[in-house]
Parts: sequence; C-alpha cells; structure tokens
Amino acid sequence: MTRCDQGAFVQDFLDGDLPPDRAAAFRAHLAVCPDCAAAADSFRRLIAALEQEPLDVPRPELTGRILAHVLPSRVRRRRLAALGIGYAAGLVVTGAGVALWLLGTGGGAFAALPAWLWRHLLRGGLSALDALGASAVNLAIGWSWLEAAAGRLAPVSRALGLVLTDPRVAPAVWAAVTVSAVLLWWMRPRRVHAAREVRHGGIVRR
Amino acid sequence: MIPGDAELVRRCLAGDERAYRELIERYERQVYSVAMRMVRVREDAEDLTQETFVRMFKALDRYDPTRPFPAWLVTIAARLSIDHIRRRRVKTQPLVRSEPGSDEERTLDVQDPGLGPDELLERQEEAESAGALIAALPEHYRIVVVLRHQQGLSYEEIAEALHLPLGTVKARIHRARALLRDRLERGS
Repeated sequence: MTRCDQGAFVQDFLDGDLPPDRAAAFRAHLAVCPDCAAAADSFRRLIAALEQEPLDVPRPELTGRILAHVLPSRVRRRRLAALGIGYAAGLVVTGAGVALWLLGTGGGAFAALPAWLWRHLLRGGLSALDALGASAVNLAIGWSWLEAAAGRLAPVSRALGLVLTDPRVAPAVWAAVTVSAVLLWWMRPRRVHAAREVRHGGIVRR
Repeated sequence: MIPGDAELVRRCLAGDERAYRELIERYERQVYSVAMRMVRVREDAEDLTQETFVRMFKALDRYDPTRPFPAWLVTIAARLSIDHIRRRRVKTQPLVRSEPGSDEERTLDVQDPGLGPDELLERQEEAESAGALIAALPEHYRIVVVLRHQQGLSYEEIAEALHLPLGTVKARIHRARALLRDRLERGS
C-alpha cells in the first residue's frame, strides 16, 4: 500500500480491471505520483517473477502409474484379476469348509450319503461356483464386449468346426496337432546341467 | 499435426488409449505443479495428480468443450488439493475473517503444519525465490496465486473453481500479492 490515497487502485490498474476512463486517469496519476509509480513497478516485477516460476517436475514413473489407473484395458484387467482372486479364495474357503465338516463328523456324514447323491452334490456345487464366476466376469466386462467378440469369431469357429468334423480331414489335423504339441514339449526351456557349464577358472582358496 | 484438446477428449471417449496417454503427458506437469505447490510433499502431490486424472477421465463425458480444458483439469486438482489439506489438518481454525456483506478480509497468520523438519531445513537453504515466497503464503492465498499466475486462470475461472464470489477472489489475490511484495522487499 502507498501513502497516496490512489494507491488502492494500483493492482486494479495492472490487472486491467479499471474502466477505460479511470485507467487513463490513473496512468496520468502514475506520471506525477512517485509512491504509486514505485508500487506499480514493484508489483509488475513481482507478477513477472511469479509467472516465470517454473512448473514442478514429477518423477518419470508417475505417467505409468496414472495410466495403470485410467486406461480402460488395464482397469478391466485389474478388476478381472481381483475377481479371479476372489473366486479362488471362495473356492478355497468352500473346500476347506466341506473338508472341516467331513472331518468333524468323522466321515460319518460322507458314509451316510449314497454315492449318486454325492456326485450330484459335487456337480451342483461346481455348477453354482461356475455360474457365480461367470456372472461376476460378465458384470465386470459387460455382455456387449463378449457378444461383439463372439459375433466376430462366429464365422471362423463355424468354418473350423466344419473342417475338424470332416472324417477325411480330422485325422490329419489331430495328427498335426499332436506332433506340434510333442515338438513344443521337446523344445521347452530346460536348465543346462551344471557339468556342461563352463567351469570356474579363478583362484580357489583352499 | 498436434491434436487439440477437444480432439484428444473425443478420441478418449471413443476408447483410444493413445489419446489417454497423450492427454496425461500434456498436462501431468501442470496438475502436479498445482498439487505440489499446495501440499508440498512429493508423494502426496503424486497421489493427488493420479486422483485428478482418474476423476477427470471418469467425468470426461460431462466435459463442456466450449470451456478451456486445462482450466477444467486444474480446477479438479485445486479442489482435491484443498480437500487434502483440510483432511490433513488436525486442528482447524478460520484463517480469514470477513465482515458480512463485505469482501474485505482480515487474515490470521498461523503456522502452516504442512512442513516437517527436513522440509523446513530445505526451505531455509532455499534462496528467496518467488516459489519459496509462494510456499510461505497461507493456503487460501497460495491457491489463488498459483491458479492466477502459474496456471493462468482468469478471476472468473478461479471463482468458479473454488466456489468463491468474484470479489473475494480479487481481494485475496490483491492481498496475497501485497504480502509477497512486502516479503520480497524485506528479503532484499
């Protein structure tokens, strides 16, 4: 603030907030008032310094971190991973619960139930878990995505189905698949045995 | 040719992931800078930058393309930074007192709890740069100075971003600049 009663208008003048006639009058005032002129100068320098202040620079890994949280494909993958973990945890808990129940009854409950009922119960349980998992996955990625993918792949799968079920082609295809699988298994990465590695040539302290 | 913001927004809405990356790379520094100036702790500023982009992309379909995109993004960053400071503050007390029906404000100077001992030492070693002076301002002055002079927002945009009357924004900027000028002159 200056000692001049016009000093309150210095910042308005610099911001261009004064109406044209007031601005012109204030410009004329600056020419005759050393207090206001000095204040205007120091505010100009301050504003220039503030505007030249460089932006802060984040660490380079921040971009990747943000992308991992916003890219639709990565968000979907993270949700699916979470669902998978939840699904596996559900299976483990259910399995453990059944095992504990069986152990608690000393196998009596197991023995009391006929085999056919056990088979049905097992199938029913697995179907329920499957349905649960499928619903969760559908909720996470949306039916539309699955439908679109299925629609695009339908002609290919129909053509493949025709070829693979043709009795003249099927044996050759299955033979090729089997040979490829055996070859891939044979080409699998294996650890080189220590005896074949280059021996250490340095000095060995005894 | 470098695509404009509106074009990038359109491509993001169409699911183009390269546009996401481009938009982030274009404005990451700006957003981080607002957050860093306000919270002054790198990890917190990075979290706020990430949260700003997450919210921006979630609200992208509501973005009005007639408004400047950076101002919209910086507004989100500013609001998040202020919320963060408010949550972090253990004890609260009003920093500004104003008479009803008046834009005149009296400032209560209090010690900002944002700096730890290491950061204080760092600050003492820093030269009396404009950045250091901004950092020493109370947060309600700091945000308006950062938005006005670093991010180039207009008074109207700042008023909208901070949900403040236009007169209050102007008064705060004038007061903050007067404080900065005094400190700068005292320092030199």
